[in-house]
Amino acid sequence: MIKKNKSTLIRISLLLFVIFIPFSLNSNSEVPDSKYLEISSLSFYQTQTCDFSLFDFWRENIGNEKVIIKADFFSSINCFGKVNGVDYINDSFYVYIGTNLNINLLIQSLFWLLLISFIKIPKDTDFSEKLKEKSSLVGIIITALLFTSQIFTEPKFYNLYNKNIDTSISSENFFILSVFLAYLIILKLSDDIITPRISVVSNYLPFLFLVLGTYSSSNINFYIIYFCLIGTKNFSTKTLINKYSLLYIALVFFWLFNQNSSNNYFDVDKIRGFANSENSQGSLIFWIIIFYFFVNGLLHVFKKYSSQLDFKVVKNSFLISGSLTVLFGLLGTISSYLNFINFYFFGQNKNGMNTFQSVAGNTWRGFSASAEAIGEFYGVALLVSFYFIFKFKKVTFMEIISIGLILYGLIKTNDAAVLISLLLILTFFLSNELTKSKKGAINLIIFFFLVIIFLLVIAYSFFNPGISKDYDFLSQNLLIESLRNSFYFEDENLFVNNLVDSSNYKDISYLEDYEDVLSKSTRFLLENYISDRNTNYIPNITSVISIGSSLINRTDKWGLFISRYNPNNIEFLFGGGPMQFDKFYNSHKIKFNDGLILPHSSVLDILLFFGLTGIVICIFGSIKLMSKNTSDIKYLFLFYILNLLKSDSMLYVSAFILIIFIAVQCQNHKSNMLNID
Amino acid sequence: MEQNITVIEKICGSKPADVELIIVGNDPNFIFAPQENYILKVLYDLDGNIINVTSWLECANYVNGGWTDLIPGTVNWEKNIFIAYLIIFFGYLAKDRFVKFFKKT
Repeated sequence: MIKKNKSTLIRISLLLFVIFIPFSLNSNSEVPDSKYLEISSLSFYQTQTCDFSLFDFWRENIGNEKVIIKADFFSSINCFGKVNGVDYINDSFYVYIGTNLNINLLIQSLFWLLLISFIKIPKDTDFSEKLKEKSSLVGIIITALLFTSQIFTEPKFYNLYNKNIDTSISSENFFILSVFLAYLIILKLSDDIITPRISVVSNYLPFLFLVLGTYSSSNINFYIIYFCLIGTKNFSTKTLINKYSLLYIALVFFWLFNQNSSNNYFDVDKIRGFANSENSQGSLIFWIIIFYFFVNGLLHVFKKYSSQLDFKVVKNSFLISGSLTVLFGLLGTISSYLNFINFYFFGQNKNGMNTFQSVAGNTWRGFSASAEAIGEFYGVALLVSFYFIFKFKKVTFMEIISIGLILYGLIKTNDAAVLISLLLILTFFLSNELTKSKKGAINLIIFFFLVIIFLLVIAYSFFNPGISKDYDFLSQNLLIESLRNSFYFEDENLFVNNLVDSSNYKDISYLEDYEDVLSKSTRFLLENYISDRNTNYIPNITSVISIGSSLINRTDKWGLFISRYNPNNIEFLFGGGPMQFDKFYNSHKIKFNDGLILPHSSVLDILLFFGLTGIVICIFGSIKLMSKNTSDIKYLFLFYILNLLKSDSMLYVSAFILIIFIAVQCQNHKSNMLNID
Repeated sequence: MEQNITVIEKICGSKPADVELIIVGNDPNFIFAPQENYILKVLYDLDGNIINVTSWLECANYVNGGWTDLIPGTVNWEKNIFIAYLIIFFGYLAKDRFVKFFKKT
């Protein structure tokens, strides 16, 4: 007992050490004392850059509400953790704290690994199992080399985020050598700390939404690194000749041969850590390999230890992690210093919100980079909690508090789709449970449908109060949006504008530059809408998609996607490769070309990455998983599938892992009840 | 700028009586007129950039902006980190042997 307490104490001390020491070191003793930051001391901080540590500055500026702390990604090693610049913008002081890739890799990993080390190693651990065997040093070196190669394959990103980057291959290139060594240390430590706990790690997956694992100044994520190591360790001829591997290899050929390098830089912004920032052969190969081993690693772990899942622990993880994301999100909003600490130590892709004020229609994403992704997570957490309350007919005080916090987070994200689908799935589940007794089954089914219709009507009128009820307008709304985003409207184009206003699409199709200006997908919608083969009273495909997008409030986002999406036949059928966005964003000119506006549907993301083939496989895979599945896990899967139709969650590592996890559980728990007793 | 006058005078020399201390800031249209009898000074910033200043006012403005007359440290931080990581990595690999060794002795 004493030994156990001692070990916990050591870990807590190490955690505090990792948090405080790197951000507490001043440059030297000759530095003058730090000052309260105001207009009169602005020049003091502007001249004394790289002298004061974050905590030293914080000590002098407690309660200074004008201070906004930001990370300076482009800092040298000696300025790490120190005030590296101050700007006075709009009555606020922007204070930049230096961070550096070489140090970030180790400090952030140490923090995350220390947190993972709090998970108990199962007593009955059989270390002879292949997954629990330690990786060989050669395997670790190869994986470290693979991740180091990203600096060479995505130099534009790393040039932007790192001051002393050097991409020459030389024994004197200490930048690359230290990055390589940092990866070696991370992989070795991960293998020693996570691998013995691998059989129970799945129970704590919800914490991935709290500790997001994206390295500052880097375009990679901690979880990708570890699961790639697992993927490489379990790579064998058997894995290679698996039908999915063979299909992936076939797709690789299409991606590589269809790839045209360009000199663009794709700003990964909030999807940093899980997206290719360039359009080059090297970066494409990097992401093809990484994606394969990452998914391979995830599948191996989730399949192997599916039976060892303790759903009670999973539920508690959801509740704790969900409420902590809300709490830390609130703390980050209140204090700019904590916002920075959140960003750095939880590995956020993007700084959390620093205001409670409405952004884009009262969307408060709090801790997360995406309101939709965190909304879906809160939805899953609530679904799991309600399931347990229903099954056990009891709820603890702490659970009520956690559910309250998560509900607050969900309401603040303003994710109507999650709320509606949550109610839908819960009603479906309850109806299903109640009809099991067969008593009054028909009445309950009728009741279920009435509730659904009622909810849909409420949702329709409440969330889209301004939506038109005019069929003609709804059926061409998406096409209009797509045309208005096209390059025709870069300047005021009265002629085309009149054609669109009068729904004269035929004349648009006769325009001389029609094929050059409009994307193939816009032309597809347009030509289907005006096709002579359309039958009266049967909506054409353009109308169906357009009405659907209007009903779920996705017309503007999908309209933008359609105006951009201009694939050749191979791209349409097989996509451009995993996590490839550059070509989509930069190959076809449209009216708007600034800012990262994602497709807002994981189906469209799959279309970009894997083409129609990917969509067909996912549809059939989902049907296969759902059909004949009598286990309760299918409700979670259904919930996620419904939401993925209108969100980009699969682009975030934590959400991606959760989706794979739920899909694997759905496959492995076809009929048996979940292990919750 | 007045608060940095000690530092400025240490680097640029004493303030000439006929020069008014003004903050030019980032005004791109301002041109520093060379000062007669002022010995050219070389200033450096943290990144190792070099600027030659030909007047006390020009020097004062650059010093106020964080430039100094000291050549920035030539410490190769990447090399230091590399050595530190090398020690950590091999130290970690050899940790079990160290433990065994100490237990034996």
